[in-house]
Amino acid sequence: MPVINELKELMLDIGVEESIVNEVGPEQILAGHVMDSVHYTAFIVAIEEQYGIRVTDRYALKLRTLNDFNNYISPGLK
Amino acid sequence: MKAPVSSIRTDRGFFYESMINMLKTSVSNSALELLTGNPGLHPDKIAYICADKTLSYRDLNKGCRRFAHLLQKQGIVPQERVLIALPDCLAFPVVFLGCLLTGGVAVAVSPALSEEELAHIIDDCGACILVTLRKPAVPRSAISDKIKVIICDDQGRVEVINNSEELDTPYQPSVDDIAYMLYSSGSTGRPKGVPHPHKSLLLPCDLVGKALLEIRSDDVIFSTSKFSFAYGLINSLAFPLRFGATAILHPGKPDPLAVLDIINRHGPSIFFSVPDIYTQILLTCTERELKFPMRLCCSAGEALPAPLFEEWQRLTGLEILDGIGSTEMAYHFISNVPGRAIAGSAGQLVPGYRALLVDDDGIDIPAGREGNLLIGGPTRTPFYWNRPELSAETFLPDGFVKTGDIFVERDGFYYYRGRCDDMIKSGACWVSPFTVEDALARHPAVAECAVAAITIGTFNRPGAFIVLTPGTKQTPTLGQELRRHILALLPDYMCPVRIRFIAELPRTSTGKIKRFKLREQFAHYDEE
Repeated sequence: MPVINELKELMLDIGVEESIVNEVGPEQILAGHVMDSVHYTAFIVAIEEQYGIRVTDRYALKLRTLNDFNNYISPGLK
Repeated sequence: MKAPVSSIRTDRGFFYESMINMLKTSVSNSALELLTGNPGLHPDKIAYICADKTLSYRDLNKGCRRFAHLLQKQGIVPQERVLIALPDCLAFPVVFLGCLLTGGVAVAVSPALSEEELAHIIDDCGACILVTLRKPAVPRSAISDKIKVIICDDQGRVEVINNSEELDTPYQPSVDDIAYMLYSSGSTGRPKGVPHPHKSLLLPCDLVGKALLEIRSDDVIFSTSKFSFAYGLINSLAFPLRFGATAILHPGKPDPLAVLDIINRHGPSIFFSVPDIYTQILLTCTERELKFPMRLCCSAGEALPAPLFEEWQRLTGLEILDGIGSTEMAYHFISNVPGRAIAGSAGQLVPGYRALLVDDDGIDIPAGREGNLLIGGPTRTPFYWNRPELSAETFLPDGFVKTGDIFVERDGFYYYRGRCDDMIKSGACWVSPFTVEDALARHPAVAECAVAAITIGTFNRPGAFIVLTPGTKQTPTLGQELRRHILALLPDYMCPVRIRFIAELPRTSTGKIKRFKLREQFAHYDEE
């Protein structure tokens, strides 16, 4: 869960409301439901900068939930 | 030096040449053509659906003729401009076509324009009448005393004026008459007027709608692109009426949940959208939810990334037909066709159009190498409104238009490679870097800034390089504060998604910002 919590911190940093962030579950779809496209792109930028990774075009289309992001980021952290 | 004629890439199909020649000589009122083809055949059929309201072909025809009569009563004369600031609602086709029936020039703009943009367009086009809704209200401070304002309801009815009478005789246009005008963002940030004659509404129906998409009367069309864009105007106005089909209108922002709701409720057979929306739909749905009723999915506005084409096809079983057009050419001039779409390609030349790829000196470039795309064809605008110098620069004497796009052609398919200028396509809308820089520069922390294109996933967005004012500290929240500052001044698609703080901007010896260096720096960052 630590990465999920870090991702939630990033969501707060980019301006997603705290009450919304608190409610987000790890399997909840983010785009459209929790974040609009402005927040979503800012979220990807924040993740890239925080973890020093590049979210490729192909993977960006598969990252729907916090768990998806966690699975994408975590192998690089090991 | 110009390229030899023999090198022009064109389809020489006899059918299309004949059709275009026929339309060159016969000048008909496009509104009359669109309105008389189908109301007589099936008057009770629904032409438009908007939320829980519908408009039949009979009522559309009546409404247009009533509105035309009203405009005549208001003193409109042929070729006078009527500014139409309406959302995509049932009123739009009534007002737009009503205007064309009188011979007036319909100038369609978004009702969400800023005060500055609206004031500029009113002044530039010299409109004598503005048609709008009470809500959403356009910025009234932009409207001068010289312009009459007609407030209609969302079905194009004007309650304060008795307009039950209908226009008897529609205007018969001459070959040079302008039918409508759209405004396109300029590289300086000031929108430029792009006028079109009547044939520009009809020809795309034959060249693309019929020949490539095979649109039929039983089609239900949904376009997320709005009437005030060339792509949306043809999709939602010309196509449905020309083929006796039905169109779904959505007055609000095309956010993915609203778009999905419309798709689920109305089951469109043809969906016109842009890469940004396709991406958002993919991200918004679970894989099981990605089952749609469409027979065709089309995209334009910006290049469709190959991974998006492939992922959409994998999950929905549908191909996305990418195409490229422009406001200057009224609609697509390059397009993929059903069953033969290629991922990452804008498609093939639409029969009836001519294309050239040239280097910076205008010399023809062989297939397989990048070049500046020039396009010629029957729907080319005659000029930019009030911009003789820009017109002379853009519209070449041999009928070609400089598109500003760089393409490569292989085996008849065109592949987008970027822009010749600094303009940015974000969410399928043009963004001038100067507009964003002006807004950023109003923040006290910003000493200097420069904006360039950046790709985040499959989203194209502006990114910003900023030099801070002396004494300003780069805090972790400063980027977010600057984004909030921009969102208060500009539409969200103009907001920089990546902000990088640097000591100084790269400049030429004459002090001009080297934007290509900035794009390289973003690209370099992406590759790290």
